[in-house]
Amino acid sequence: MAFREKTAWAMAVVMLLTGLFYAWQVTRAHALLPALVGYTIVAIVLSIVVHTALALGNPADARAPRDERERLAIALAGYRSGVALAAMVATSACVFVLVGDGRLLFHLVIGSLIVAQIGTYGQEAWLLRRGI
Amino acid sequence: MAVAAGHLIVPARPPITNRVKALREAHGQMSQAELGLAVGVTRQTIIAIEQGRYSPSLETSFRIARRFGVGLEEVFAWEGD
Repeated sequence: MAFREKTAWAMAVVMLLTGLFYAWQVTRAHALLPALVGYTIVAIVLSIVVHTALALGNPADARAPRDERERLAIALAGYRSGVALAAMVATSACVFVLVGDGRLLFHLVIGSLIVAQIGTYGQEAWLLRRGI
Repeated sequence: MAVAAGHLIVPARPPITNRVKALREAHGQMSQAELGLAVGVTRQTIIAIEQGRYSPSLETSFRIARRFGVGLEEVFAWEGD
């Protein structure tokens, strides 16, 4: 498995786990700012740990620049996730118009960002594995 | 799965065949990693090229051909319509 594919899979798992952590905080009715800060800190720490561990295991691959196929996979995954994110945010806005709950809007937008990130990394890993 | 995403069109499977593996083996059983290093791509990209899952850029195609000391059309061929 290529180094980039490993990092993509690892980050997809990190985003999924931290997303579940955020969802757990939401269900426990935590205040907005602490929930967001908590999620952000956990996501950053896990990302650093994962990238460091992978880089230590593959230092040469970690230093190597992305090649053309990897850049294409990243671009395509990012584009698709961007479209999905736009759709989810627009839907969140519609929900707000109908329901008028600002707290719900906040969580829907953050949730959309998390889902989009999971989608980005998942697609990168899939495109690198299955071909472009 | 063909994807139309704005200006980014990705064909379902590249209609291009290649003899990269055969040429690589004919050149002293060169490894995929060695060829990748020589042309500036990863071993996995060389694998994807040999398996027909990825069409390299024009520059990389030329680099591969030059590495083997042959012309571009001796490495890559367009599949019939």
